Amino acid sequence: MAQFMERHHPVTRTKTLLIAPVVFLGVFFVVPVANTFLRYFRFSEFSNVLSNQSLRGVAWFSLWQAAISTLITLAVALPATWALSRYTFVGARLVRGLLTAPFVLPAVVVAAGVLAITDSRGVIPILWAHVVFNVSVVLRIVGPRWSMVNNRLEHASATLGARPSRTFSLVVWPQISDAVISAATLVFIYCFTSFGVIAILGGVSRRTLESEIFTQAVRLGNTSTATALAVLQAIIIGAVLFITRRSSRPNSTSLHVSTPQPLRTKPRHRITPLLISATAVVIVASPLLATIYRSLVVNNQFSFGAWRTIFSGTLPSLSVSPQSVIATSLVFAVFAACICVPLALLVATTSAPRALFSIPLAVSAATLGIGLIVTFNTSPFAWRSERWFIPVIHAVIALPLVIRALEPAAQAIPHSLRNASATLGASPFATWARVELPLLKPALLRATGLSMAVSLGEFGATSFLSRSGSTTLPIAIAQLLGRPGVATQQAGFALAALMVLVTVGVMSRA
Amino acid sequence: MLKVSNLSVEFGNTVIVDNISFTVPTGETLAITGPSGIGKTTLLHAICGIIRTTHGTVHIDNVDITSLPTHKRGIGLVSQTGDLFPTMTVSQNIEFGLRIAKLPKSDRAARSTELLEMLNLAHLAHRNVAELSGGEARRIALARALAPRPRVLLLDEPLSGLDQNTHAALMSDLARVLKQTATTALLVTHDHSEAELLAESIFTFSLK
Repeated sequence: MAQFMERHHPVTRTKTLLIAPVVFLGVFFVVPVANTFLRYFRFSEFSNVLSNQSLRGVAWFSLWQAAISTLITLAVALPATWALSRYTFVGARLVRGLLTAPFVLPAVVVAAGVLAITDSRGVIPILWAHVVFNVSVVLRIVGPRWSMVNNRLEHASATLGARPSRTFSLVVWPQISDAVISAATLVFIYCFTSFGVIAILGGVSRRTLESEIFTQAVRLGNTSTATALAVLQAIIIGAVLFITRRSSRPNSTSLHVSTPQPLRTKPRHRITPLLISATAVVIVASPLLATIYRSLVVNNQFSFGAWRTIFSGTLPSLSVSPQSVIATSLVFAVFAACICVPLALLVATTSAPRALFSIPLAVSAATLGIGLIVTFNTSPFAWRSERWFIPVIHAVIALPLVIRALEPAAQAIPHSLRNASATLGASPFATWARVELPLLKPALLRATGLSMAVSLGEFGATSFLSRSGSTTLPIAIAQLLGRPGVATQQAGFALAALMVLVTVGVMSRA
Repeated sequence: MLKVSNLSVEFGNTVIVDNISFTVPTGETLAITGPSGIGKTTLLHAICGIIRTTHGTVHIDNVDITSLPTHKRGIGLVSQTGDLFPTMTVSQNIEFGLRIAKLPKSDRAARSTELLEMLNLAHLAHRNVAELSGGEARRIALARALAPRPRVLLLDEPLSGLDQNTHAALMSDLARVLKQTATTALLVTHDHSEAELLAESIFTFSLK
């Protein structure tokens, strides 16, 4: 009955409100991506890519580094998720905060942090950066499910003679497996399409399909090869999603569990979860702290020189001043949030088809990047060099995430409040403005923070569009860390440390 | 006067309300009784326009309002749960419909005070609605629905789920307020004694 009533609900927001987000995504996402494939995709070029040994090597590296990154991420994240979901201990909240913070940190900042510790580039630093970035993904997806597993079932299994390992495999795993596979799939795709991390830690020899698309399209001007690589990348992502689709489908029976009840244990039993959590924190947080350390210490000497440079000096290796880069990034973040949050609000508060607005998540930033440079380069749509264009694209990329951030709060508003408002004479718009918006205020603040964090950290698509007057923080960090010179490198670490502080600040207030 | 003629509500192939007709004279209360799940709430929602009718018409004072949207019907609703707006205080809730109707602030405040005094709740005016007891929340929901002087008031099990003392007190308040305001009301309840006390006439809803 509830479903029927929903469908017949006359005060459900009219779908005409969705015109704005649909047109926005259509113009700035669907058109450029479709245009690229229609204009530049050739089967002959695709076959050339498959037969090119160097490019096959790039694809193979993308695959195996993503697979190993995913396995190491699971090895670090699952024990930590177990500890945080099943036990309460002093500092658990802090541990959770430290482990989930990198989710919104720019990939280049995480990569800079790993570089600050290892001082070298290559496979090991790449894998470490991917682990730092993705532990939060596992924690966010698997954590809620694991904390919902009824611990009385584990007690029952133990009283029936099962060892802890058997209890886990027979009782716990069937209830969390779909969430683990969902998380692993997402981590694999993030690592497979890694760009920011590779740009800083890949050096000259390690390239992923994503970074190769950029090289082919922007540095070599081979748009057809870049498009063929984008198609190959999309096919592999599609195959991974297809293979994992059954396993990651939520198991309805496993949802019939009690409300979260963290297990309260005797103090001596808390040592293991505490140690596991501490290990995960060291792996994840140390690179972030290392950016701050490296920005302050040169040749074992403490110095604020790099910080003075980024706030008041200039750097020969950057075509614009660091202050201008910081200002540009902040203005872009605010502009992107001003576009993204209202559009996301329209989608989240209407009965819109969610899958439509999730499409940008399935397309890599480099694929979008090629589309933007080939579509918006001729009059009257020669927008690719316009300063306003970058935050607009940031808004496109942030939109699916911001919709997801707003949706739970919007869905939680009872229909009965809308009915009450309507029977008191309020039009659907008045109900939205006076009843729903005030209820959504906390979620809107979080969504604004998320949108700003995505914009501040966006590297992939921005790399295709950035010009000297519109250099953003991640682009500047990648440029500085890619060039020699102690002062240049230290300024890069100072900008990365600034991003750690700003992003954590923005997200903790949101 | 509320006149419901041959009203039916169907969801897909399921008939929820089947060809119902009745009239509620101006200033009187009609109680609709019947077992749970029989479509009483659906009938109220159809009358106030929250859900669409499949057949039939709804007239208020001989004006056909069947095709009007909910917010233009002038029908108030007090639901089982009260549905007070959680981001507003008690007086802001009561004044909501008056703000929508663009009444001056002084008039809104006067009407809010009048209703709060009528229900002996003047001391709650600036209270956050989350701090109200169940009985207080129901009274405030009643005051809010009455504030814009609706042409018809729909009461959907307004006394359900209350403890015995609160139930008795609220029933007596409701009877007094309906009489005092001479409101045309339609009361849905599954409690026959409640219907007998509050309504001039009773309509029993039964399964076909």
